[in-house]
Amino acid sequence: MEVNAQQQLLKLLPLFHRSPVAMARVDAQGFIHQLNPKAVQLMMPMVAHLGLSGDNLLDTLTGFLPSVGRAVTNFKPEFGMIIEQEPYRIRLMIDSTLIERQFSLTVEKISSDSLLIFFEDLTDLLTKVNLLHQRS
Amino acid sequence: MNRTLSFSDQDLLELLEQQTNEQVEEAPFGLVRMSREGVVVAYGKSESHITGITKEYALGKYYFTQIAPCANNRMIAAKYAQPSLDEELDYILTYICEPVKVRLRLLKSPASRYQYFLVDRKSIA
Repeated sequence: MEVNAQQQLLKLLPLFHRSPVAMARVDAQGFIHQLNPKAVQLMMPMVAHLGLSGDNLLDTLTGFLPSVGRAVTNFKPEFGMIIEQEPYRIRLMIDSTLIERQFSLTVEKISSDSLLIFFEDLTDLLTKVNLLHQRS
Repeated sequence: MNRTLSFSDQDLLELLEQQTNEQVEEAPFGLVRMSREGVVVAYGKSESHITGITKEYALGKYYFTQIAPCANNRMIAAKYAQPSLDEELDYILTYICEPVKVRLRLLKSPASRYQYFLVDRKSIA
């Protein structure tokens, strides 16, 4: 039974690895314990823009969105949803080019020292939706 | 071609171009040889140790979309659209789900048959 559970967990890994949504588990200070490739893909340009080390996802997000840091700090319950699919706009420089991206962000506290962070870059989707609206 | 490859060699691209795929796999740092379209041609053993991905799985796949989506952004993958590329930067890769800090070097030239993605765990700035 235990082996089965372990096998099932291993089968879940590709889901996590290939998810189009960025996912990370961080501690209460924001230090990253686990994250998927999409999270790295989206986070690293922000890390480079801010000149951070990439250890701390909350610091990275708060560098662009101070309200995210405040929401986490001010959330007192042991667990619960802190931010749920909130839209945010981020502007960052990559190799002297100003990039604007639109994100959806979810932050959930799952214990006193553990947060789950989900974020998604919606820029391309929104561009397609706008095009559809223009055509109709 | 017995000279030991070093991550920061000035003439590394030239040296790599003379290596067979088998020699590339033995590099002392993480090394991926790709076609100019981004398909994996050789996948180093050290790279497998860093990422947990086997050579058998990687060969023949598009590197940035199928093997390393974490590097599929403007900081890394988009730079291979340039005709010439020799850039080092600090980055994070994932080993299963754990973040791994690495130093990357991105290499290609207009004359090179291949493009290269190098990973060093030891020389993070």
